Amino acid sequence: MIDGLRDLEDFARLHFRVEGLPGNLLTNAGRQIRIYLTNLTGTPSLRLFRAAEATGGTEYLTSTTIGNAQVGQAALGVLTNGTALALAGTQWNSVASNRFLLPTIFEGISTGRCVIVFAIASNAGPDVAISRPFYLELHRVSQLFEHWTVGDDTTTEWNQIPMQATNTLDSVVFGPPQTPEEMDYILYANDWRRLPWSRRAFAHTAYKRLWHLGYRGRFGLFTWPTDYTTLTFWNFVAPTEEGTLNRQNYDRSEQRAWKSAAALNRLLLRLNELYPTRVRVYAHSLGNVAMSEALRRRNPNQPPFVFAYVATQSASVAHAYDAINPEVVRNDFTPLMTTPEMYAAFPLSPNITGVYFTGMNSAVTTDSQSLQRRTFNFHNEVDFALNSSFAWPANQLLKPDIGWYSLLPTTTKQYVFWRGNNYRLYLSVTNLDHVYEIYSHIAEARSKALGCSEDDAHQVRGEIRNAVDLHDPPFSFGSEGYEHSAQFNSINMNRRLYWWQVLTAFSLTDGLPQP
Amino acid sequence: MRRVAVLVFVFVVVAGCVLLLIQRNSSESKKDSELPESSTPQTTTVVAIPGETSAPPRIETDALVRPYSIPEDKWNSLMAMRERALARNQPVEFYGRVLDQDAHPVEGAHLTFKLHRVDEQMFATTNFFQREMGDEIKPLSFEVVSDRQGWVQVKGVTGFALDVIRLEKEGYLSRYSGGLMVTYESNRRRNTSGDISMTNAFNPTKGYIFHLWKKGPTEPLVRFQFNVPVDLFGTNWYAVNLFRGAEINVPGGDFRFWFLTTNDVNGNPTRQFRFEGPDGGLQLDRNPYPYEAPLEGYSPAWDWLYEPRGDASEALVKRFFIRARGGKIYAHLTWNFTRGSAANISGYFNPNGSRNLEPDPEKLMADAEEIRRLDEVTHLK
Repeated sequence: MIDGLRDLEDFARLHFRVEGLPGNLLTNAGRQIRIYLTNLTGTPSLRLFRAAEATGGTEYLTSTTIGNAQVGQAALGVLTNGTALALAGTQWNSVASNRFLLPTIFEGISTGRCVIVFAIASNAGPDVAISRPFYLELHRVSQLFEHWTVGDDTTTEWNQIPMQATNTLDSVVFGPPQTPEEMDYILYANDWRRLPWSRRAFAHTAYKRLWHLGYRGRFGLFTWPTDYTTLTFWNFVAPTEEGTLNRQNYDRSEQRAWKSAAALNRLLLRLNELYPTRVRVYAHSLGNVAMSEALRRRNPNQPPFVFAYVATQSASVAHAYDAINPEVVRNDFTPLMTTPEMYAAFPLSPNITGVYFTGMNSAVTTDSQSLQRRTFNFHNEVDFALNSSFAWPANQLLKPDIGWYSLLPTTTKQYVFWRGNNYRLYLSVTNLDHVYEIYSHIAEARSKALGCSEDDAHQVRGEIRNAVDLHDPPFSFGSEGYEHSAQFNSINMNRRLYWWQVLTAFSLTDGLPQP
Repeated sequence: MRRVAVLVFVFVVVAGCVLLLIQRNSSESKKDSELPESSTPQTTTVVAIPGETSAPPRIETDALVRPYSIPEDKWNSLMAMRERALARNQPVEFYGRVLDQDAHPVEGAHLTFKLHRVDEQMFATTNFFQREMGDEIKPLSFEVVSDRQGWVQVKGVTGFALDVIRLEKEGYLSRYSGGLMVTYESNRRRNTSGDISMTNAFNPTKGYIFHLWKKGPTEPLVRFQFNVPVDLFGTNWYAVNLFRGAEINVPGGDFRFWFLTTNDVNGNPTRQFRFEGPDGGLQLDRNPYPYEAPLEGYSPAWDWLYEPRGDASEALVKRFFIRARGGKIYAHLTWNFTRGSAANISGYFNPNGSRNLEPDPEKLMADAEEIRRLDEVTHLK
């Protein structure tokens, strides 16, 4: 049996078709079908299930009705080297005169390259007709995309993060593209509070869902060392090193995200050399701090090095992209506000202030039809993690963190920032490590997070040029906790249109069937 | 005599009461039939939520007893968090009205709502602090049916946001596909957009207006969809024949467009568009139900300066009513300029000179020979 609807994403279609043979060869009770698998490399094997959909279509991935019917199917059997899988001729659908079809779906069990043939045989005798060979190569899904990392753990501190990303030991390393489709590359960056196995699991889901929609380009995972904590109510009041509201965990992770941007920027430079202006980037939640900063660090005098950028459910500050349009949810007169505006009014030079991510857009190509940079804010106004009273807003409310200070001396009337009593931090473009620390542990946002900043009255633009409302149909992302990552957490039947929208933003839908 | 006078008095009193009753009833029924749009909902819809009895939200901490294992200060913090979570549930008040294309109220329309709210049950026991943040959000779906005057109303429940998911009624076409959400914040702040239609959702004398299209007699229509490749940085005209698609002969066509890409004074790219309906005119359409072409209001051309600010008003999708071939054809046309170095042009037209554009899948014309004939007979010489 198949484990559940979600498990169906691991399956691909395999159709056995007979044309021009007399029907009695298939339906005669004295005959059977034998399917053979022969190893070419490795020890590949797979498990076959008869498709619940008579025509062998893809509704097992798109319809919960068909999916449930498929989950209820018993396996036809396991196909492995040297052992024929025998099926009764009655398994076949007659689709026209002398034409027969056996639609199946399969999941890989072990990896390798193999050849598959099927034969018609008498029940006890030899094969009387044999098909043409079909070659199949089975890989683990983690071997179908690259995994770049600057910390494949939860403990690497910000000052230990390297300036260059490397492949993990379990990552594939792509050679030069072999097909026109392989000239396209999507790079995905992880979010906060995700363990290494879970970072991979989300990447698996993203890749599989894109693949099932027809994407045949390359895919990469960029991981940075977010910390992890359980997010129970108790943790928010427990007297741990985390302090209240887990903000040290989050803010420590945010600082790592900022610091990871340098290596991510270098990786994008390298990928752009291999896949010129065909690299698309996709970041989830806090991963957008790393991604937006990596793009901002692009030399503005150089041409774009990223084709398109999707910031989904972004935990970065909306004011860091657009100083004007985001809703101001707190201001200088808000009780306990002790820090100045630093996101919308960052000192770009001694005499000029602007939004922090000034110039980010110029790292991304322009769509010649809309004349807009291809930067997209996938947002949800009721996102739990970004807009509930316990998560992102509470963290902003409680800054500066314990041990960090924002002071306004009456003599100079200029804010100064400190870590402890002895280490002064400077908000200056020439000292990004200090900026990252101030943003992570001290600076209070006046706006909402980018990923929940749009509503009927507020359209956030500036350095982010396009928006997709995930709360609206057909996406209908809601307010429950899991829906901050609903595109990964819930079944493909409910979320495939989200992934289609990602491909649309990336201009990768031409020639693909509309879902 | 006195007895007769008493009887007469009693008769007069009884007759007067009967007359008063008749008059009162007739005035009420007249009132119903002539209710202006600012009438108020006649029925109250109270949604049953287990454990939920009334608004405003209940925040009770006395019922919970601190376990010995939890120090008192932590317990107080937990109770404060619990209070804050429960305070997200605010009294919900929503008024809507369903009208047809002639602004007549629609009775019996089904609206499906999704109420976003905090699950009070989760906080009813002392082990809630072992739950994951976010688990406390429990949306609730329910359906409400409009009353005689088209009103729907949701009251007597609490939550922090209310989505209207679906609107439908047998015999009516609905283009409502969701997207309306009203919020109820703990400081009693509601939708802050200032959008009057949203504000009306809180006003029992106005209500948020939903529209349905009452199905009427339909006529055979022709559906069309063409892809017109364009040179994005050229200055060419592109013309479309509604029957055949892109025209090589640009001076012809039932609909045509032109654009020029340039820069504004700040050096930002812009694009100047011109749209034309050469033999009858065109007009921009924003009607959710473009099922009847207007009689008047057509212009030979419409000019538009596209400045890519990225807001919704700048969407590169425009919808038009077209009067073509001297009024022999009325069409509804969607021009989509968002993808693939092409304009995608789609819609449907009535080839019989009628303004009726109500879609009916069973009456769509598919006979290529007949369509070709109609192309010829409507063609202006």
